[in-house]
Amino acid sequence: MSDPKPDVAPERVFLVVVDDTPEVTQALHWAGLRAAHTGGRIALLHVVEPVENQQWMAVEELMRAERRAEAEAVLSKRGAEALDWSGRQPILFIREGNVRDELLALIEQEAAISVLVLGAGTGKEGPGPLVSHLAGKMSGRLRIPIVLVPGILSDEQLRMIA
Amino acid sequence: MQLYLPIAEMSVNVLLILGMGGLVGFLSGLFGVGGGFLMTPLLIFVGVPPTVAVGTQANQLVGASVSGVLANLKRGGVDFKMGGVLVAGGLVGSVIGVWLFSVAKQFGQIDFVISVTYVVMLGSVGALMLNESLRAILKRRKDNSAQGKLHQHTWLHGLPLKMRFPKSRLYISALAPLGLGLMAGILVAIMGVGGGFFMVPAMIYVLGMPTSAVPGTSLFQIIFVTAATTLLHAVATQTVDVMLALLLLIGGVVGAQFGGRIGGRLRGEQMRFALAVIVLLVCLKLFADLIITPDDLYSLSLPGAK
Repeated sequence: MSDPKPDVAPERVFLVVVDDTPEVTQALHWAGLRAAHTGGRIALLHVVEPVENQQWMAVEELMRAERRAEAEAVLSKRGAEALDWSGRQPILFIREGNVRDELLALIEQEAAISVLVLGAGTGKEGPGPLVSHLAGKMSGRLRIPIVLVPGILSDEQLRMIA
Repeated sequence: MQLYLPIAEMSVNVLLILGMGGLVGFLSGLFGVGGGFLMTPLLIFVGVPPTVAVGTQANQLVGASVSGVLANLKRGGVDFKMGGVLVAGGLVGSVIGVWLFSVAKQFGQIDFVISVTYVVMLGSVGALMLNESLRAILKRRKDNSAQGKLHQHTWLHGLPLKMRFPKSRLYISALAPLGLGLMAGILVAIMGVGGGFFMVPAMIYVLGMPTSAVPGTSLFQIIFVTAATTLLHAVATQTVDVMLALLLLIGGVVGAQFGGRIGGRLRGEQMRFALAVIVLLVCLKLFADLIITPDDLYSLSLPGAK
């Protein structure tokens, strides 16, 4: 990633966190439309859960490799979707660790990221742990704004507001 | 603080047993191993009769694996169908194992059988682990993870009774997990170990399960097989000391918490080396006890006594 030069307006990068929840779709589609309208692009972050210690090293390495392969599969599927909706190749990030920590670290490291887009879950248990934490406790201290996209919106509704 | 153990028929220091439970629990939290294969020898070293050590250890494992499987359940890492077939095999295996155990007990050879199986098992597991960790420490391994196309067809795929396991994305003969479960059941009954050290690799390399489902499913299987074995041992061989199991469990739960927390922050190679050394030392001590002339040449048992 190149550092944004102060004299050129940097392109807007919409960071979408990809996990296995359905509301990622809404967040991704909104970000895609928004990026297409504003000449920006999408960045996708997928955080892989670290492998617990195993007695056998061969087993541990195989686990790591399988998780990595799964992460790449998820990212390439969502990446294709991002390309469809935004019209540009997305930037892909894979990190290993705790989602919350890795997300905050990435936002600090990558100065190009300008908006964080999260899907808010529709279930009874609330919008999801990441949203609760970031929008609740962390929102005042982030470097960038957060957009929360409700998971109940249809593509039609997204098109009208994006 | 002395406590009398009714089944082991001896007094033990409560703090010593708690400490042993804690130590083994710590190691198991650190490495993700069950720890049964260290606990049984430790109990034998402090004077608990080997039969009681094995029977009680099976009981202790029930508690330890319940807490382990809950964590995996939340992550969705348990294949219940595969686990069910493994349990079915495991129950048969545990009946066979307990029967073998009581036959050997009748002939007065059970202590010998337990020690020998432990020397063989600890020796091979320790040597394999040492080999793995030495290779990793000496030179950073060349990318070995690429070696595995897992789904090679072997004779196992020719067996009848094919079954679909959607969670593991497998279509294999039910006889393979049944046989594997059977072996695990015998191990639990004779050695008082959960058998994860061989089940986990076997489920991956023999059955071809995806690694994400393996630890949870293996724990799920161990719960039922150890519970059944505990019952069978309590009825058939009368070697389950609940007092002892309770003490070990308390120590174990506390130890595992600490181990798990520290283990998450450390990388495996050096620790795996350390565990291999511990396993081999325990093996050597057991082996030495087998061949060194004992102080008491004779052991007495009363006919008719249990």
